[in-house]
Amino acid sequence: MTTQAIVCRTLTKEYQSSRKQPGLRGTLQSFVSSTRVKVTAVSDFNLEISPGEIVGLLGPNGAGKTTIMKMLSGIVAPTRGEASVLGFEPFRRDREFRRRIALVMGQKTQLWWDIPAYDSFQLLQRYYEVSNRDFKERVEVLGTLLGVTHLFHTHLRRLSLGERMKMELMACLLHQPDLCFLDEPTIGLDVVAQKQIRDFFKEYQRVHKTTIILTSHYMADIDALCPRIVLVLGGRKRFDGPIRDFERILGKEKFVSLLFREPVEQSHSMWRDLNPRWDPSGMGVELQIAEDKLREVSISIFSQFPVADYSTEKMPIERVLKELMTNPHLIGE
Amino acid sequence: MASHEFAKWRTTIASSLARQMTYKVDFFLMLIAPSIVFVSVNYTVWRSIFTLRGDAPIGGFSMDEMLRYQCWSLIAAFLIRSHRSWDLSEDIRMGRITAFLLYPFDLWKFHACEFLAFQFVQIVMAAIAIITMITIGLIPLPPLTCLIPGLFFSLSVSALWFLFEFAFGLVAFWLEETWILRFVFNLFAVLLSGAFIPIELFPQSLQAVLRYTPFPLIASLPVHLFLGSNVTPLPFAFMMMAIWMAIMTLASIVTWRRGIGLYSAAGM
Repeated sequence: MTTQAIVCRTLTKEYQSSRKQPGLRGTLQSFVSSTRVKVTAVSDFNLEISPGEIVGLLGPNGAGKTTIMKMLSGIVAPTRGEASVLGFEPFRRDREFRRRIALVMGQKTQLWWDIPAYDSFQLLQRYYEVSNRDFKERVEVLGTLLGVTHLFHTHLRRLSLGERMKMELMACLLHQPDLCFLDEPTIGLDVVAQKQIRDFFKEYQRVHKTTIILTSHYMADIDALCPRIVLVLGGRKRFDGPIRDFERILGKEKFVSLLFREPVEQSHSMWRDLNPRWDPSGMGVELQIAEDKLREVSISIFSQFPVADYSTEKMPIERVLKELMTNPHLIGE
Repeated sequence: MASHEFAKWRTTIASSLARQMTYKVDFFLMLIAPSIVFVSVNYTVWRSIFTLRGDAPIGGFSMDEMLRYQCWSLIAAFLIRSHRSWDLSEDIRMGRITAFLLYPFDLWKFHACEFLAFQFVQIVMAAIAIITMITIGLIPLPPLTCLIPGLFFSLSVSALWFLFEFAFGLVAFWLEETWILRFVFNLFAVLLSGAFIPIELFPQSLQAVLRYTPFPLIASLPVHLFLGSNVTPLPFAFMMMAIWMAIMTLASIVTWRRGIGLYSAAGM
């Protein structure tokens, strides 16, 4: 019996997609004979996740992240390969399996639109067989943590996107799942709401040790929550490891931004090996400095030039991901 | 265990009722639409036909008998044929059944609860319609020996109607649009069930074929039970109902098992 929360081997998802040429001609053509092509969304995907881990699935749109989540949560059937999630085969969707997982979809609401959130919670209380005492306690705790207790009896359709997402989170956590799939939980939210949700999950995971798989296009979410990341490009796993290793995947250099009080000499020998990128005014520059020389080079710059501001890159993960999305060949198979 | 399951059904039915009543105008129109159609089509048309023929009987029906038949046909429609599973097709197409693949409460159970909640409202509506019709003299007060079997049969056969609706909804796993399929089925259901034209007016050969279809079960038979003029032996009617229920249950199971393999949870 596996002790891992998730194990999958050579998980593959292919599906048929129909193509239609534009215009009336295309419509008539597709009416007589439709062109179908096989699309491989995920290919030979292997993964192991221990209980209590938080793993970020990274990749551009269409990379296969959500398809992986759908397969692991039992929503879609894999074409090939095998998966074990909490000891269950996901696509069999055993009742016990469903009782122990949760999926939050940032782009889709799972709560009932036409009734207040609290009514939906009560429904979910019954579905997940949560006792009245636990239900009341959890609703109180989660509602307070997320700051939405005053909105419980408002119809869901009358809530803002951020408020709705907080209700979705509550709904998904009422049964205290062992494993939580978070698919873009902060999409479309303002920065304040994004941070609230990040902080909430950090605290929730610290207390409950829930295994979490997160996809997000906001690198701040990944950076704040995920010690480990898995990069998916073109349906294949291209990186799996600690986030700090990922940041250094393209080299151990720090990106430093400098702002000067007055224009400086761009041809100065100081900049020669630092791959400078000057802004048009000549008063700002971005440099790549080897990690082990950061202190020495910085001191030298400070002593020779009128530096007004100095900052190092906040989220190298964003730059690395951007670079790999544009040039996937930079990372080995 | 059983108490948990009962609580799930009861809470889902209550929630479904709450959702149905959220949009009050919509809800009200949904309730009165069949009555409006009845008054403007069934009742008026048959009255005109008999007036044009100088009140001569048609297929053994006098004008009063035909109008009473049409009144009970409306009651049967309230109790049997009003539920629509439009949402199921749309939910499959738009990837909205995902939540029910995750909840430990199956999609069919959820739809069955929606149906039961809807039926609860329809029973109230049917009761109001019966009382109104008796009050204004459209139908005489029915004896309990007709009313109870009529209600029992109607509510039993409404489960068959639900199965038809559910199975058609599941076809959305393959077809982008299922409304035309439903439209055709509903058209046949109205024309061949005796909802508008009593089956007794159809040619003998067609009547013989219809005996083995589900259509007479959803209008002609319950109407005759309400009228106390049952023409088909009840055991045969119940046997046909059981056969069609078994067929539609099997069809739903097979369709679900095959269809779910194609589900892509679009939009997620």
